[in-house]
Amino acid sequence: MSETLLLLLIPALPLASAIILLATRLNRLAVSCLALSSIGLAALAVLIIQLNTASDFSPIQESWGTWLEVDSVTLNFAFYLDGLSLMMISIICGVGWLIHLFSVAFMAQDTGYQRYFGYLNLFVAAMLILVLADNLLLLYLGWEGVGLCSYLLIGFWHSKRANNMAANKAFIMTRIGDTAMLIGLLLLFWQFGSLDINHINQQALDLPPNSSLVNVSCLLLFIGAAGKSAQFPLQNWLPDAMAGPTPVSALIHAATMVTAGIYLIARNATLFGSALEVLNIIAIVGTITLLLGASAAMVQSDLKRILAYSTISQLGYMFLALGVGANAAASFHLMTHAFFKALLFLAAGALIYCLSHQHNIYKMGGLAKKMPWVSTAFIIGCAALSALPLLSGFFSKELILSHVIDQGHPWLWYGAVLGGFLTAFYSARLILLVFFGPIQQAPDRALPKTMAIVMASLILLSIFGGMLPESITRQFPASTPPLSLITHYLPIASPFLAIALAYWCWQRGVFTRSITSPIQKTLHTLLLNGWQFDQLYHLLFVRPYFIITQLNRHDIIDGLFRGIEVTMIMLHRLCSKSQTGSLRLYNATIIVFIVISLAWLIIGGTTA
Amino acid sequence: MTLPLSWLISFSFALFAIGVFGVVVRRNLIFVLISIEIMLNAVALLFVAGSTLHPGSDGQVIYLMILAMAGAEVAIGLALVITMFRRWHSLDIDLLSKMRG
Amino acid sequence: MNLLILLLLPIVGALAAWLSGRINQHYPRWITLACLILCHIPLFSIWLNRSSGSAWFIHQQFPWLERLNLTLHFAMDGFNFLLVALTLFISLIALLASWQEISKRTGLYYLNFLLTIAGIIGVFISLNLLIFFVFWEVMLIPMFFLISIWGHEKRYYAALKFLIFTQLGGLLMLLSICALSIIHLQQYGHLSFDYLELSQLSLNSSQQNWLGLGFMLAFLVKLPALPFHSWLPDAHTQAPTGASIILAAILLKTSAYGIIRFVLVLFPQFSVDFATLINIIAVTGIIYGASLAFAQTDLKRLIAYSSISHMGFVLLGCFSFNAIALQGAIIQMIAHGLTSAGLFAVAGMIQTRYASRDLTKIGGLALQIPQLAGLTMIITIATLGMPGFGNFIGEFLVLIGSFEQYKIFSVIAATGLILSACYCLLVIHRCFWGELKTGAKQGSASPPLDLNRRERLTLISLIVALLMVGLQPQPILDLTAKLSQRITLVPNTLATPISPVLTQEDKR
Repeated sequence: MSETLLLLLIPALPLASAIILLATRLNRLAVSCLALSSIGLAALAVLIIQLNTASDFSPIQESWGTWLEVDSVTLNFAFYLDGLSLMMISIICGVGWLIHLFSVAFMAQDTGYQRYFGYLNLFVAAMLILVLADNLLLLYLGWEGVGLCSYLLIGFWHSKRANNMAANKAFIMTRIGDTAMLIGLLLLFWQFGSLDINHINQQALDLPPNSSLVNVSCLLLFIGAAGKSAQFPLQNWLPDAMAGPTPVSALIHAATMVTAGIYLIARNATLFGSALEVLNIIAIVGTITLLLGASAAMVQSDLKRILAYSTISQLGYMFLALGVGANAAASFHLMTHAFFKALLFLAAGALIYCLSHQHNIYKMGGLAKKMPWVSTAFIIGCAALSALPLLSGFFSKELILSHVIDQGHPWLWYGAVLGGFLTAFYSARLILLVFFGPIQQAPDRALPKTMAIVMASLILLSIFGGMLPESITRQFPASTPPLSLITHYLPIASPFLAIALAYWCWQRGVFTRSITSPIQKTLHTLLLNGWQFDQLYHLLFVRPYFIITQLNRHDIIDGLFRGIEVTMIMLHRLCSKSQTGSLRLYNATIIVFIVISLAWLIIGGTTA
Repeated sequence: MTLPLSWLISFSFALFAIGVFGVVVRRNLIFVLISIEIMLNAVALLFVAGSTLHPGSDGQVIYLMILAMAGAEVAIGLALVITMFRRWHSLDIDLLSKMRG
Repeated sequence: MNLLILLLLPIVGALAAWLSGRINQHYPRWITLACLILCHIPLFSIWLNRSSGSAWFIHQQFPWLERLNLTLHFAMDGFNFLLVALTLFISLIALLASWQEISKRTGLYYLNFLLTIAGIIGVFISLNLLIFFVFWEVMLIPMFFLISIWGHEKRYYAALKFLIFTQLGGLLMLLSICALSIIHLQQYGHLSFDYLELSQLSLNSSQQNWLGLGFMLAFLVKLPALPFHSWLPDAHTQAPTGASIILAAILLKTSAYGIIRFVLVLFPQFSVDFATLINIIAVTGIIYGASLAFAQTDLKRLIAYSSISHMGFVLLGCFSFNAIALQGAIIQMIAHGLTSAGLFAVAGMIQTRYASRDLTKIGGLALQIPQLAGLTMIITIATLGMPGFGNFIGEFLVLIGSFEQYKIFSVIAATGLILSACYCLLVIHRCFWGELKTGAKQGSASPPLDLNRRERLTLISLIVALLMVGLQPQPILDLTAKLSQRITLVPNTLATPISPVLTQEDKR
């Protein structure tokens, strides 16, 4: 089949199946078949495109038709496939299909089975539209669509208030970023005359570098990306987003939606390339975020929250790479992160499933013997996360670090290496607490075969995924910069040091000891709450907004008009007191006023 | 000897004032009607006094008209007095404010 | 003839419905349904017979009063064709949504219902200013009766407030209309109330300011714009479902129609001079309406305040002097009509099932009525501006258009999008998600039924219409393209007086 037709079908199939799933009522088997087949066929189409274009690759462009055309704005439902988007749709469809398969087993007993798969397919469709869009407005449609599906899926079990609050937080914080991005879009439109991505990026080459307009619009786009990808200061929605089902966390909050921000910046590489100040800001924000996430992950007790903070941290790495101009490294890390983070989340899901929804790692222990598959998955996933040599994460992280030091940012490099150290530390802590030591809660259920198969595939990808960087090199020229001895070997050695330190701490029982000294206690609470950003935002924004709106509930302006009404009624009461019905009063009033007016006339007449 | 005009005018004003005072202060409806009659007569006297200043008897003709009008008005007034008496067996005008439509 | 039929059919239907109400209380609604469906026929025939060369699809004049030079001048171009189509569609939705709600004096209810529709259609198609004013009043009086007789707890207060606010504005407009015709008398020698003749007047700036202000105040009250918006929450909350839908979805659009058709064309200098002030009002309305909506506990009041917020975008689009923004305003009018109709229909459905609109007493309804919850979620998502639905297109085009001249206002209006997400999600959370709270006593009757076929049809047709506007807005844009290009004024060229906007060809 021609590639253009395949390109059109790839987002259309999941969308069609989502509409069918949400609008009709089917039995479980039909739902599973429909959901799996739509993503599977899309993945197959991607595979066909990959094979066809393995040798030579030129970007493909195709459109479903016009969206709108008014005055100077012309927008189509047009899709554009180049190396970057090919890589993205491979991840989305490939990892997405594996996660769908996992969900079949995970959500088997849930009553909202059909609704779940409807939302999940809708999410995949929106993400594909985001990645394949050739103009910024269609990208924005996908952007908002994934935000919506994330909201629906985080609040999937909506009878619990905590889940709803988490979903609300996620949507509104990403909305703040989206609005900034929208304003950036307006700026770009009026500067470049169109919203077409290729057009904008070509025109950006003509502008002088570091012009204020390009800087402002790129900054706004970055704020949007930061919102969606949970970067500082919009990062605190992600840990709460773990309230959703675990496969959702794997797909949306590890592999795909949170990578949309990185995709946006990588896609507009030329535009961002001429906004040098914004790139500096991106790099600094990335470093802050990676340290923030890694440090908070060290003290968490909820299994999924550790992984969430870890995701925040790894996304920080990707933004750091983008900020120093290493787009290839960022995309590469995006790909490998998708593999091992999805593996980790799915393994966590399997663990939670088998332990009947236990999330607290302090209540687990010694599960390595009871659950060999899950423990292998976790160990390999964490190893890739810590960038141990020859696993996929190793290649991508080393590439990022080498670019950072090569572009001359020593402080950022120190931060990144420290982050790597912390990453290995909390990963080791996680594994030691959950899988080694005395058993506290034995697994109730056996591991379903589907889950095992999915995890096995992701294990293979995590190990060997680092050896396939071709699709990246098609898009971005990848070069490995020269490195000195320290810069080469320190990042390789530091994870091992961290693991050793973690083992030492675990042996001494540092992790499970209760904390006594007040300094340690405040530090612990600070890290446990993710550096207290939740509380800060609640104090600065949420509570004042609540108070102000509650004060004005009955609308002061309406009060003004009600005041007029009250005044009128008072005047009415006052005036009706004169209507007494007493004849003598009326007579007297008439006479008195006649006398007064006569006197006025006479006296006024004589003095005039 | 002819009466000085100023006497006539001041007499008529005095009568008018007595009538006004009576209308305002008296509580019995008959006395209110009597006071109205006094006012009317005072005004009529003023007209007659004025007619002495001009040739012709216009003032006295007006006096007759006022008399006729007063008679008609008193007829109606007394009819109302009878109705009121039937209702309340009293002619206190403060009772009139108790009427409800 | 078509336009006259379009106008008279609802009036005849109203009388027929009233009379049939004496025979059987169920007949009036069937007659109303038949009448509204029949009204589509002249509309279709206008569409099929439209003249492609001139600016107007169809133009009809009927002489009335020679002495005052009054003719019944009706015309339809792309813009009011869309609005009349919206009117008929929404009136069908309102009818279907409140099918079983009215049980006492049904004949009278449907009489008022159809008379309001007739008044609205008259407002949209009249080109003679005095007749426009007559229909403006005609659409208010039946609505007053609808609210005050069949409304909820505070209906008299709400209906009276509605009437006083909108009548006062209307009186100012009447003064301006009379003054315009007298100026025409002074300049051309004969009285005229006709739109096309009056647009050829050259008014000096103080005349434009006062007369424009007169018109503008009437439209600002109706829009509703910020200082004069306080009739809206009460009127919307206390009105019965059908009247709420008509009020929110169509009545508010008549004011935006008036602004685009009359104020921008008859008073161009005034529009340019006052644009900054009016844009401030618009943007403040967006933020204020959204913040107030967030604080409400009454569902219908919340939706009413959201209407204030959305109409702020329309006002911003009208006074941005940009073809994109104007067309965005028109699309926002249509999309907001559809979403507010949907939300009020849902509120009515909830009220019939749970006898309460109070969000503190009912909650978690998705557990009992999942289909209604699902469809409401789609409409709510459309309201908050999700791309793919009409509201996003409208808001986006307004923002892009207004960004050219008024960057700050555009940015502030964009932040209104965040606030609209807050209150829309609040509706979902308080009403449908969370624990089940029905405000019913223990051991009461069986749980309420989910959507029946009629209700499902209502909501799904609204959602489909929203998707069509959101994904294929091109037909709407094409219909209003000529209009927006003609009306685009350039605020920077203030030295030369702005020439009359309508040309000779518009008179054909």
